[in-house]
Amino acid sequence: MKAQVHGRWARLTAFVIVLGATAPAAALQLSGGEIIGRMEQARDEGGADASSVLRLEIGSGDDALVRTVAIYRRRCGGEMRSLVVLRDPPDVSGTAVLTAARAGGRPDMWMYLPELGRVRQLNAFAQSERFMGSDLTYEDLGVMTIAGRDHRFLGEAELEGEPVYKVVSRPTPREETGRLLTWVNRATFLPVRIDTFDRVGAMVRTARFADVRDVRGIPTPFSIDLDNLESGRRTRLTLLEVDYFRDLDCNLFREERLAHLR
Amino acid sequence: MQASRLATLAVMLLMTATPVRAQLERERDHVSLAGAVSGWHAFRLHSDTPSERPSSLLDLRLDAERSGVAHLFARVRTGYDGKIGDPDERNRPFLTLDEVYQDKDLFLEVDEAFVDVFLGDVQLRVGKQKISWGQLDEIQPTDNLNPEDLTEFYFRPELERKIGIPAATLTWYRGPWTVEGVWAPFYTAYRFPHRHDRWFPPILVVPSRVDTPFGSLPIRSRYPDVDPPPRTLASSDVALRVRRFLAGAELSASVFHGWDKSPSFLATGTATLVPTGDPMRPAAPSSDITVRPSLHRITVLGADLAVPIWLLALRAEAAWVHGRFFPVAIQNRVGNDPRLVAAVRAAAERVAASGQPETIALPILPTELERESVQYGVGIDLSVNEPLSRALTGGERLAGTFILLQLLDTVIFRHDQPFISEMIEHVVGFTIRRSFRDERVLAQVKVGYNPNHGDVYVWPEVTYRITPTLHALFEARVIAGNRSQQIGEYRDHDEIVVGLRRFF
Repeated sequence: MKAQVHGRWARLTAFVIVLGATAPAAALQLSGGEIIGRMEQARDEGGADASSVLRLEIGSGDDALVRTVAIYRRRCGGEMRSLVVLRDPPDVSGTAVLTAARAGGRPDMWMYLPELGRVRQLNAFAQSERFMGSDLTYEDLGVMTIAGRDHRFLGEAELEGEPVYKVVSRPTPREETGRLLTWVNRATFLPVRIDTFDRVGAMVRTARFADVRDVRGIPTPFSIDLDNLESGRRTRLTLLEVDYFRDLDCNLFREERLAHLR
Repeated sequence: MQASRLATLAVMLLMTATPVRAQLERERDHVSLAGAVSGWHAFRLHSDTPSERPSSLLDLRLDAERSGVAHLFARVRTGYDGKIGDPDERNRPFLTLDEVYQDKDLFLEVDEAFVDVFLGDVQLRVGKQKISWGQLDEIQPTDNLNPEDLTEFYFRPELERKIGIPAATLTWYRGPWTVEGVWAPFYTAYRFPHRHDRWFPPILVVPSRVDTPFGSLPIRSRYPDVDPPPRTLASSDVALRVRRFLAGAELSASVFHGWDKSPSFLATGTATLVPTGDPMRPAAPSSDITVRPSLHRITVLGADLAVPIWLLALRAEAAWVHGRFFPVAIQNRVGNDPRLVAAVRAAAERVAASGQPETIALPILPTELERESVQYGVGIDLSVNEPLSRALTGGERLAGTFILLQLLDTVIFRHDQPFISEMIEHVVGFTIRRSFRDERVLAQVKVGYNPNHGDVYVWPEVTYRITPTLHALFEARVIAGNRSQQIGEYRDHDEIVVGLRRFF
């Protein structure tokens, strides 16, 4: 089990605990690219010194795979350090991944497996594209962005009672998916919904961001639901706790300290 | 047998119990108690090897932290060990620090119990602890502080094999540098299967008779425990490691001075000759052989490296070892050893002349010899991600697969005696691991291959998550090779292990 965690978690290089308060921009004339840029910026707000605990539910009913994860982030010097610790289920509890990311370089990653009792360095480039075996990509989580897409503003609309911008994004040639349709909240610039289509135009997945709460002045979505329309599988991510500006000690973000964390 | 039944009953009760997880959390501090209870049975595939009874284990872990100030960790293990062939009732059930043969079926052990104190850039850990140095998989040449529990050969996870030692560890870190110093004041013995246990190594078995020029010599054998060294400052272990993170690579250099934790044995013996009154064969010889674990001080200088390259993680490690003893194959030579034959013949002549029985010390060839040695290894591991899987197969079915390949060499200098190992001994390790059915099933296969002698072991394991807290375990241990070698000697010990584990 822990080995699988090895593969699936380690990509959690920069799980940004979310998002940002930005000035309402309804009156502004923004391009599609600018809206997506503001969305990425909003999702990164507060992430330089933050902690959270989340519950990840993959599938539904008795077969659902449920995990509880604690995540800590801190900017230490020129590096953004992320610490991910699995708390539950108990068979993998204590598994921890530390990532040190810096601009323009390969992230450094270490993993502690309680079963192995030693910290091992990982290759960040070889880690999974998806978050802990779910259908959530790191892009869904705001961890990574893909440059080179062509964004086009489609118009203003209302979605589930919220005023939103609607943007369509054309994939880069290297991507295997088709276009993306993104609804962005006009007040917070947080995503409300992202639909992904395949290359022939059929919708393959829908991600919904909800339950936005104000935490230390930062609007934070506490719920992300993702429906994989091809497999019929649902992934639900729920934030149980989140806090910003904790003044976390950078010494916590060292590979020597990975053992016995929670 | 009564103890076995009680232990099995306890396991069954715990298996059906509602999972309980005690946890107390204040703002940033916490105390938690967690653990697992397991029960399993090994089914041997060759009826002429020692059998096992069902085993059980209760594993409790206490973790408490005062955030940023101190941390307490304790792990206690208790259960019933079905591998023990002839249980020793002394001191039962407590496992001790200075016995090699811990042949207690009912056992209780404080596996680890330590306190961490954080003082800015310095961390002090005091107590019984496991220290893991080195970068290679399973066997690390620079990892010499903790002895191992080898009562099941190497068919246990590395951390389970490792035995906690009482020690003080001081770690200082600043920027990319980390310096660790360890002082272990007492000798802690490795653990080894006793003569009647399933995993007692066949090449250590003293034959009940040996052919000599004057007939078949009956032999009685004994396997007493180690003579532990005195608890003095001079007999403590010390080690120092300096690590540096440089351009994505993790580098370290280390030195260790202390007791060698690798198993080594010394044989001594006597021959007793009694007058028979038969003029054709006036003296009847017999022999008593004692095989006792030996202790040696070693000094190890080592270095290791881990660095990501392309999609791989490359790991390398090397150590020079001074003072280690290596086993010598004497079983096939002992009956014809001229010094031994001459000593027995001379004693037989004296007994024939005097008519009085006589016991002499046998000049047995040394079973171990000290040599300088170097151990080094290199390994790569690969986690197959989705893009690589798509590139290889057009789909994502290989994504999440973990593959490890490693070569570990041991070089014995001045290889002028019939050592069991060749001058350069290779061991190739291979591991593949992946999960299926949304992580409900985890499968792993480990293979170890020694090309010098054609020895190989294959160790597949499957874990099935019946529920998130209840797992079914299936293992097989398959061994082949040369009976006179350290893997192949177990060629008749193939077995299948089936068990259940409940986490709480």
